[in-house]
Amino acid sequence: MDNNLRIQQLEDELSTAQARIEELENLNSATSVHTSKLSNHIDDLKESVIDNLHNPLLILDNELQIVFSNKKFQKTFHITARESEGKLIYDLPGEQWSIPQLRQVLETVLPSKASMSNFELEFPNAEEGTEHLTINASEIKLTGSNERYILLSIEDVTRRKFAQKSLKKREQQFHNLFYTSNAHIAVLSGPNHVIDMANDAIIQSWGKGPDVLGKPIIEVLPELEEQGFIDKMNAVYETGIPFRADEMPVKLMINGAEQQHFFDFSYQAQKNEEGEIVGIAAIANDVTKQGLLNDQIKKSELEFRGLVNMIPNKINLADAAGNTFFYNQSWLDFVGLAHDDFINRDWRNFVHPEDLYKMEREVERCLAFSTEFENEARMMDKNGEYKYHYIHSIPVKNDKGEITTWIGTSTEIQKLKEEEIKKEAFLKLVSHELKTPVTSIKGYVQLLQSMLPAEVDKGNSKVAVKPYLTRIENQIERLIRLISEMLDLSRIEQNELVLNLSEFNLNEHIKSVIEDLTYSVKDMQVKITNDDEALVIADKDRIGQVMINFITNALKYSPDSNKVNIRIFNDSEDTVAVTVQDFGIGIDKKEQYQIFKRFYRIAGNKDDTYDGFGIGLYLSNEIIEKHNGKIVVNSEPGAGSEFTFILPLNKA
Amino acid sequence: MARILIVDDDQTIGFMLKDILEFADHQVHVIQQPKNTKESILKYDIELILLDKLISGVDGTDVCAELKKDAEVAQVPIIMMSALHNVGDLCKSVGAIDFISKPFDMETLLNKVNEILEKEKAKD
Repeated sequence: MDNNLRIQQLEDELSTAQARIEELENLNSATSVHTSKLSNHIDDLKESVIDNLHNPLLILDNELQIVFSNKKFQKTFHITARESEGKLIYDLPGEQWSIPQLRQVLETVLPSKASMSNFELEFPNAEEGTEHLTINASEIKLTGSNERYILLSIEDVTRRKFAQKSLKKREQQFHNLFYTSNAHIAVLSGPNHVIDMANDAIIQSWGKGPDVLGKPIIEVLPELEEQGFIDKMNAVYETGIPFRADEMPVKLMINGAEQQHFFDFSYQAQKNEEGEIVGIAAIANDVTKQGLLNDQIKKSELEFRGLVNMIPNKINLADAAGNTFFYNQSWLDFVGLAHDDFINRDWRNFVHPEDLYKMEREVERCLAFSTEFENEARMMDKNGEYKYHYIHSIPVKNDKGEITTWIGTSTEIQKLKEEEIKKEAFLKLVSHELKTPVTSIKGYVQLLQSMLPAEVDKGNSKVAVKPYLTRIENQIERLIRLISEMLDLSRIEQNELVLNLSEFNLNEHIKSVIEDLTYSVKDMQVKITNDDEALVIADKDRIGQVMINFITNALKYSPDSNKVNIRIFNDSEDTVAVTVQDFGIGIDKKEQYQIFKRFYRIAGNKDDTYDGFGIGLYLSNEIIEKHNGKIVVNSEPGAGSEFTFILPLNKA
Repeated sequence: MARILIVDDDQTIGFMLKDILEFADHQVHVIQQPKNTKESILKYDIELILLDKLISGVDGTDVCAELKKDAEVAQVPIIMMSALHNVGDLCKSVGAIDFISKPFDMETLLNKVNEILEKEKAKD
């Protein structure tokens, strides 16, 4: 409650009481009979009125001694009537009132002014911290008396003070919020949109300083006019309908240079208490980064679209279920159809009937297992001709790992295919042409070995002939191996390693392979251990090739030994194992997984003695894997090696 | 000792085979044109034929199949030869008694030849 009002009330109450007293006194003089009785009543009434007032109240005499204190005062300040009456206010117990400022006010200000409002003072309260009090004083003159009294009314304003403080705090918070916010806020007033308030963020984004306050927006940012923003502000000011925009490009002149910004922003009408529009609040978020990014995304989308339509590869995009929704220009040119016409046709109609079954199965498999699709198929062009294509498709997955899109590329490999066929024919020819002279040389060398004596005369001594012929023969064998490897490699590269399957006895086959081998590798000592007899369905020549590879490797990497042990045994109920053991240099653990790699060659001290292209084991591995078998290596450096191939048994 | 006919368009191979087989005391005739095969078999009373699979322009398997159909010469055993090493089964399927891949070992060749000739003798 307002203090003045309160005082007013008190005064009203007092004057009412005085009027009543006067009335009673008049009555008293009129009826002298009841005088003494009435006088008592009046005193009672006085006290009860004052005592029941809610605010602490004091009446002081001219000397500032307390004449009267009401109950509220006594209660509030823990003082009894007896303790207070006749005392100076400064001398009250506890020295609570011994405040120089109060003394000054009461002793100097009051006598000249007759009243004093809202003198504030802080009153220490042991329990609740500081109490805030306001004191109002007024002079009371009694009619028919020169005596002067002072009425002091004391109000506790601690709560109000507290409310004021928190209001101030809140105001500060809003102030901070406004000025430190990342949101750009400006309040424009009047039809000319004079900048009334503008926080740092917006002033910074304008590239200006605090001097913009008080200026019309058009003066500060003239570039807004031609971009139509001033019209928008006018419209909001006139109609009150808010204006909002997302990622609106705004050009700002900053330090004389034009800058492209993007803002999410709104203009909102500001109304006064009467509901009239008095201004506009502009709230904006600078989304320039995002805007530029989106611009960049749009740009790269266009670039990618251009790229996709320009490249000669055929590209298609399909949904998770495999239905194509996009074909690039290269596809459309190939099939000679418009995009939607091609989309509406079944792709199966464009695949060569001989390639369709495999292709459909592959598509089904990839959709079911979400794996990459890879296939070769002939696709029909606009002239009805089929062209070989390499078709590759990969799934694109979202964060959850779900497939969203399949990206497919198809590359025409017709020429490559034709070249491959030519290459294959050429290699066959080369191989044949090379083998013919080699065959003849080998024949004659062997013939010479049979015909010539072991040694010939040279002066008084004899010279051995056979070792020379043996060396020639070994080099011919080496040349033959290289020619075969070259041909085999080209076949594997073209995935043409077709197995020529037949059923045979593996033990017998190995025996005959080794017999054949003894003609060309003269001094090896092979021991065959047949633990079990095995019938297999396999490619006889290819298995022979693996055996020869194992044995020649065993000898090649055994410089000090020509012993090879072969063991044939059932390593499980369904499989047969053939182990070739040597006593050579062995293979380091680290190298054991590498030796099956194409062109890998063990680097020994005598590197030059380990000839070949480094494809022997690679070929052997390919051959055994094609038979659904496997190769196992067991070796230690210095202790020799064991190479084992395992094949499924024919149990049918 | 046997009378052997070699059909190979490559002279070097033909002569080399001739030299080896003659060293092993056989009587050898070499021709380069497969069309003369039947004529030569009959002319020299041939007991064994070594037939190359790839003769210029002609597939040796066709020659072999034709000879095997011809009653006059069908009984003469044919060993086919090729630089391709996995056509043995194909050759045997058209009636060749054996197959040798080039390049071969002299001993392998001579063993096969002798083996076949002995078997043929045992038949008579």
